[in-house]
Amino acid sequence: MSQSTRLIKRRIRSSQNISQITKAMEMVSAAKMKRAQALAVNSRPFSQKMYQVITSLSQKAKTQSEHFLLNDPRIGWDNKNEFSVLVVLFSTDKSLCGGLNTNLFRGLEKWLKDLTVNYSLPAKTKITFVTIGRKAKEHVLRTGRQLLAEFATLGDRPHFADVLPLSRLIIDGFKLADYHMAFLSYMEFISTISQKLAVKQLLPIATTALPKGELSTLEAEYVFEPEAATIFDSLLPQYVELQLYHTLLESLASEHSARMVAMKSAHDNALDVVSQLTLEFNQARQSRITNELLDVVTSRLAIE
Amino acid sequence: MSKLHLEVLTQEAEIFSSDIDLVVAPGADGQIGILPGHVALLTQLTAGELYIFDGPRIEILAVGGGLLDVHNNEVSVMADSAVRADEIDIFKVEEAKKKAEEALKQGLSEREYALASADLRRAVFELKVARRRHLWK
Repeated sequence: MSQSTRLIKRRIRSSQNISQITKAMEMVSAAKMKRAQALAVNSRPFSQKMYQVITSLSQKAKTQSEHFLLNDPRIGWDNKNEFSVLVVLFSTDKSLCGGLNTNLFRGLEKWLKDLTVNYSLPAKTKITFVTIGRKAKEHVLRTGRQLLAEFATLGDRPHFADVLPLSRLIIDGFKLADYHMAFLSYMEFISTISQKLAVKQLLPIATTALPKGELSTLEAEYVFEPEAATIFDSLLPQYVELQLYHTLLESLASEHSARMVAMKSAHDNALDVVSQLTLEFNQARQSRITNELLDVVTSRLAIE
Repeated sequence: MSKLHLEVLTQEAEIFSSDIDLVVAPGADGQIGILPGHVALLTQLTAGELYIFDGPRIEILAVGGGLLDVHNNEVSVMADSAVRADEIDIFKVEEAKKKAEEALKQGLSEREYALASADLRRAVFELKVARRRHLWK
């Protein structure tokens, strides 16, 4: 009898420890989440504005200048050649963030299945990966796919300069036609409790997505100073860098949010277990006392 | 009279967003002034001062290069960095300048050197803007 109460007591203590640890982790994640969310949300208007400018300009400037980052290799592709696609996968380094990575990879697999149809790619298509974060690397290796490069996560406060090696790798590879399209795959931050898989086309820079209404509001004549080609040369690579940076911030915000929520529910579960076990412990103690009383009473009766 | 709508954005935040009369910006080929009804224009900016005129008010921002887009009386400045001249804290900037200079004196890797010298350039420039602002007052 005392054996079992001791066991229960030990389990209560360990559950209490777990609840304390998860509570601490929740608080750490909450602090990181706040910062990451603010960064991600504040950098949104800049990226959107940049996107607007580029899309509207590339339509205007198409006749004036052709830039290699805008060229769509799907047009006039010879089906005998192998088409190659690069996927840049953003994941976390550490786990303990609920279903975040699982959802990411599951969504990615689904997206890959429909890739050739959705983007009308040639039948012979090869897929290569660049990963950011340990989990993504492990996933790519486990599924036996080609890994071009892997980057460690860039810490909780990524600097803009940190994405430059990544963007250099991507732009150079695209220039040399090592791959003909590049996509970003990451968990988009929607709210603290919800993150969604997002896949975006990075290269060639998609310019057809602009709705017609917006275009007509633009004036016909644009003045460029210095001329369009010079601006494009500096603007387009910068746009790619910016996209990567923004994606990094979004996926960081998602990671910390997911971790905070996961730790919160782990903490709540641990407390539930503690209260359940406490109940069991009290019941066991009470039944022992009752039994002892019974013993005393019966032995007394036997003596009389 | 019609007005311009000006937005100044950096990667970190929206610095300025309001209707104004005139903006003078440091364009790639010299200063440019933009009044309402300006033709659609896209230009690169160098590091310099952005003068914003709204009625009797003048606002000065220190921008560290970027891009300026005008169409339909909407001016968007996408700056690498932007600070309101009033908000430049001279002591803080002096300190940053000193730190950057010290960092430059020590042997640094190429990347650190580039970062430190960029910091120094920005600090010197912000100081210049802030000093001029103080003279005006």
